[in-house]
Amino acid sequence: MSEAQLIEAARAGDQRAMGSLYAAHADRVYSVVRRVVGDDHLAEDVSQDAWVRAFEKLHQFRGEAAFSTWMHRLAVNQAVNRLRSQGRRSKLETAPELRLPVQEPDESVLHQRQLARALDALPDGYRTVLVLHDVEGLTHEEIGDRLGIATGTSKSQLHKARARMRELLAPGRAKTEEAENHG
Amino acid sequence: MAEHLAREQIAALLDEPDAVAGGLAHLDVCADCAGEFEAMSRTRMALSGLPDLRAPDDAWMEIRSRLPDADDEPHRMAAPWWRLQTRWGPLLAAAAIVVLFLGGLGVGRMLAPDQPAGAAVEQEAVPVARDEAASSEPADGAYPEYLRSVADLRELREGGPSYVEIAADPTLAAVRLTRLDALIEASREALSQAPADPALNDFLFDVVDERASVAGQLDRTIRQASMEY
Repeated sequence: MSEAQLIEAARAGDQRAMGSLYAAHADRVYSVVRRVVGDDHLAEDVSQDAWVRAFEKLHQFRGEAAFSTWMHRLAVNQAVNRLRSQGRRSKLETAPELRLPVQEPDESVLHQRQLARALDALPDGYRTVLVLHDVEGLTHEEIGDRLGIATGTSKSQLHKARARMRELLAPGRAKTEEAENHG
Repeated sequence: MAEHLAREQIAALLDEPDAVAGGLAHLDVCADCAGEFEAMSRTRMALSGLPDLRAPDDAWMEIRSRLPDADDEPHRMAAPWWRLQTRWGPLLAAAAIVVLFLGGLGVGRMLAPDQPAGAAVEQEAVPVARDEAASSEPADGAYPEYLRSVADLRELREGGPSYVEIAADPTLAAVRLTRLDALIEASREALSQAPADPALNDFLFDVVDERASVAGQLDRTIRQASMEY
């Protein structure tokens, strides 16, 4: 059955079709949500909400974009909404449990774990923009549209997030943004 | 250029070589900053290549348990969202706040010229919304009014030209964008009063999403037209 047929069947309430759509996109959705919210338990909750909402809103899916794109947008929205509704939380108090990547581990796994920990330690706003731009490949215009912020704000947040990532990944470097700025 | 570049400046140079005046020239003569640039560049590359994570194995069972029973009501998923809600209070209050701000901003008439129901939002729903916005939970007797507010709000959102109509007449995209901009403005005003309200956030994101979609469609149409020209 093609994806279009699955969508049509899911619209009619066919739970097997919904399950097939879920199976095809679950990892992608979970990944972006997990990286945006920075917490395993919250990511599970938000991902589930995103899927339930997606099936509720499936009648609004008009096929202008691929289902994966539509679902990605919905999942990001759900994640950002949750962060906004919960307010900012400290990320430095707990060491996050890391989920295994879908691919087999290789020599880069250690670096990936360091990156994941650093991402989780970022403030929510920084992390959201960094994940959407550097991980998910969205443009600043797209991020601005998704988050309801100006393009310049997205750029500024990204630059601060990258700088913070460097501090987290290489804390030994002596200079700070303020002290080392020059005219 | 003296001293070192700040990390934020180096971060900006990754995407825009002109972001910092003299920045690239500085990287040529400063090994420390050049090293930072290389490190940030490697981090960016690593982030873009992160593999997908595995979704929790039991997640589908949880999701499935929250879906309506297909055998009992096969078309239920296609019902409008406000009929699917079981916790009316917060959702309706959020919608009412948006309606209130639509009225306050005077955008109801602007939105409504092709939509008589929209005018009703401004004239009828706002007083109810104003009363109810003062309390966190609407009184039972106000539910029908809230339902009307939500329905009117939804109609404002869903009314206007369709994608097919916009594709046939791109000028309609501007009409749609105007409606959506007004809804976004009203939603943001409302959010300033209730920034943590999930329903309100959800509504705003829906509208922002659609605006991005319509703007993208308009952009593609313009590009196509200019290529044909």
